[in-house]
Amino acid sequence: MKIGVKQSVMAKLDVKQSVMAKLDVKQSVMAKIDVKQSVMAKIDVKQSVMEANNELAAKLRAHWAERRALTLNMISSPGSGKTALLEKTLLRLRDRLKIGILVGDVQTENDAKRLAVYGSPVKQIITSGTCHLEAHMIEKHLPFVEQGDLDVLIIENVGNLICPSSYDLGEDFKVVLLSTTEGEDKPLKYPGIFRRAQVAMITKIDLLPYTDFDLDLAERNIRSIHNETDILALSSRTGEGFDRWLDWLQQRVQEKRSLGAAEKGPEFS
Amino acid sequence: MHELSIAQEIVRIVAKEGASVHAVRVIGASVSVGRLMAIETDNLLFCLDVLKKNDPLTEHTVFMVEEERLQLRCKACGHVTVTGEFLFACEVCRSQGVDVIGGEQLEVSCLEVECDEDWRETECDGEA
Ligand SMILES: Nc1nc2c(ncn2[C@@H]2O[C@H](COP(=O)(O)OP(=O)(O)O)[C@@H](O)[C@H]2O)c(=O)[nH]1
Ligand SMILES: [Mg+2]
Ligand SMILES: [Zn+2]
Repeated sequence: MKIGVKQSVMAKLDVKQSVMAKLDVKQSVMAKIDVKQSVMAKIDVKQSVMEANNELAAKLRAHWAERRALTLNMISSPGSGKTALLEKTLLRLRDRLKIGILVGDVQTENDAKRLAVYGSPVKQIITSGTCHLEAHMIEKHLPFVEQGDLDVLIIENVGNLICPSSYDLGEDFKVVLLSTTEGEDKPLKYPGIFRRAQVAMITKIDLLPYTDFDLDLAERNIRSIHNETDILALSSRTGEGFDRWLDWLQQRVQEKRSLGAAEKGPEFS
Repeated sequence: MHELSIAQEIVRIVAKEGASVHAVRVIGASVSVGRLMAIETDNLLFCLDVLKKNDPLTEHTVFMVEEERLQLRCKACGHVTVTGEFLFACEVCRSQGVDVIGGEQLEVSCLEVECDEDWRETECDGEA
């Protein structure tokens, strides 16, 4: 850290000393002015506000790298269909992959209850008001879902398109969901998350006939923010488009498994 | 409303850095906020003004928020586009293949502190 002190060679007297010195009024006023100038300093701090979160996220990432567990951070507005997507995913893959789930909501255990019936380890994170998950919340709840080795850890973030986008949770991929009832211009309204997500999923396509949602325009809008995003369109209700998602997921699991030996990562218990 | 958690962290950093140079008071603090961090400046300042009162060191700190604009490096032609908009394309060749190289910052960049005399004599490296 660099400390530049302007005019540091000024008066040696501090206010108390100048009073003690019994200088006449005029002099002591001068002394005060000098003191004030001499003790002001400008300090370059350049400290990242996200540092504490990012350091912990890096530890989580190293932990999952050693275990070769693929980690996804699912982000969307409330009600876009994150939990429905996970229910169907567990139903379809529970015999093939060991999937653990951490699900964040401001209140209630409802989502964890919906997901627990598929036999996978699920833990609800109740944030009591906080509009996003942070790395320390993952660290705290991780031991509940990580009994044994997981192939995949899916984190369902709190429903919100803004705040979760700034918090790294150590995930491999951020997945953003956009349902057909939300309008095609969501990516333009919330560019931050659509830029950061590597996968964008358009959900509830079974409702397309009942809305004026333009699928092509939605894809173009997503690409205008991030032209390398993988875009998937599906319905958790009818299962349309679901195979492509499951293929995508299983392919990423394979890729993670086939990575070379990772260094020993930190333990969380 | 992640501005609240972010303001908490900012006040914590400002107090910690101020204490580390034995400041008696932090007069001013500049915070640099990237365009992509989706932070509402007024909202952040409001939270800072509430939270700063919890610590005598930061109680009277004047916070300044500087916006860091979006900087994009074109993968095709190498041009760096600096923009206040959310347009992820090269302004020269129109390519959408761009890397974000600026606009994701969130840091306390500098402080103005009032220090006591003793500290200055022991720790100032005489640069001034
Ligand atoms: N028609 C239809 N409804 C869906 C679909 N996916 C979710 N929903 C409904 O949308 C509502 C919100 O879904 P939920 O999964 O709880 O959203 P979350 O808040 O993102 O977790 C529920 O009533 C779901 O039944 C879908 O693919 N099609
Ligand atoms: Mg949910
Ligand atoms: Zn270009």
